[in-house]
Amino acid sequence: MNPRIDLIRASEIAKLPVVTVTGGEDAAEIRDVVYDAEQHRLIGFTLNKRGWLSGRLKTSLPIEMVTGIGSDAVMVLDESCLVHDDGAPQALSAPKSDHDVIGNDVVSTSGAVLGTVVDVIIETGEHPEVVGYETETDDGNLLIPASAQTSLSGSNLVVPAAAEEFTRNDLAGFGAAVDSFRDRLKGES
Amino acid sequence: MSMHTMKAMEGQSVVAVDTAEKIGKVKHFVVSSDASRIERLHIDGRTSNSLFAEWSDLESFGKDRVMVRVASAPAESDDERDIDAARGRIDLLSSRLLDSAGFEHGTATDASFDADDGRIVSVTSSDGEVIDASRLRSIGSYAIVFDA
Repeated sequence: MNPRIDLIRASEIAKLPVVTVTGGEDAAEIRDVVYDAEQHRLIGFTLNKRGWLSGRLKTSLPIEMVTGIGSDAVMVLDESCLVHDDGAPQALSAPKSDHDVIGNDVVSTSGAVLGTVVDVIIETGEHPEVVGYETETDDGNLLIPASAQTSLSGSNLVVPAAAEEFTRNDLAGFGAAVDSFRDRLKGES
Repeated sequence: MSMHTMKAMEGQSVVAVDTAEKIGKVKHFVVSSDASRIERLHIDGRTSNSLFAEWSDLESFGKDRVMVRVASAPAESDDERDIDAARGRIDLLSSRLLDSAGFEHGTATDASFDADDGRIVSVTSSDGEVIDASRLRSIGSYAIVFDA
């Protein structure tokens, strides 16, 4: 059995099968993770067909329909959870490319550059959400907690200076760092 | 309750009570999509001429033979699920085990069932985990899904 995890990189969700709880069938495969970088909110997933002839499906998966995200599968109740693009929220069927956070420089309000975003960190469980960003720096990769106080311009992601104190180098312990960071921000507000 | 395991029954000869003739062997168990019970046995053939014995036609599961009441009862089926079972596409005894949170737990290696009514009692994983039937949600061509 794979180890139980609470955090997963968005890039690790791509290619995972979408499996129905009531049918035990693999209904689709995750193509891309769609999220609102301004609100740090997961919107859902675009989908590929399963198998050798995999190609883009004309259905997508709103995050509200997801019952679980694990290291081996994204779970939904049944195939009706996959929504045709015609009926899907526009943010999911036609995501805004100018708000893609990948490639942005992360700058703290103190003026320090904390690297370039290479991945998004997602907390799994019943209510999956974006909890941080992984950046590439000259000294290796860094995990930076996300918060409501983050702003995004299209080339820069500005985070509170307090975030610098709660960065980590790997996912172990990063969840606790995110919680501590958010508690700190709540205390300051 | 008369408990048996699928692994022990697999390959066992199926004999008719009325004619005493051997009519096949237990090849696959066709399990309901909610993974709660055995619906019928695949006892002969592989594709178009596969033969199935309904659970209600079974007389007993013995230690040496599976007994069917009437030799003429087993029949072919064009049901998609039966054909998937006959082809091994849906086979509890090798199926991936996936919990409802999206984590794999190896593959199913055996399952115990109540021979009185065909109810699945538990599934054993390749990791040695015994999953009680109350946690089972479904079995399909990709996995057996159970509550995390």
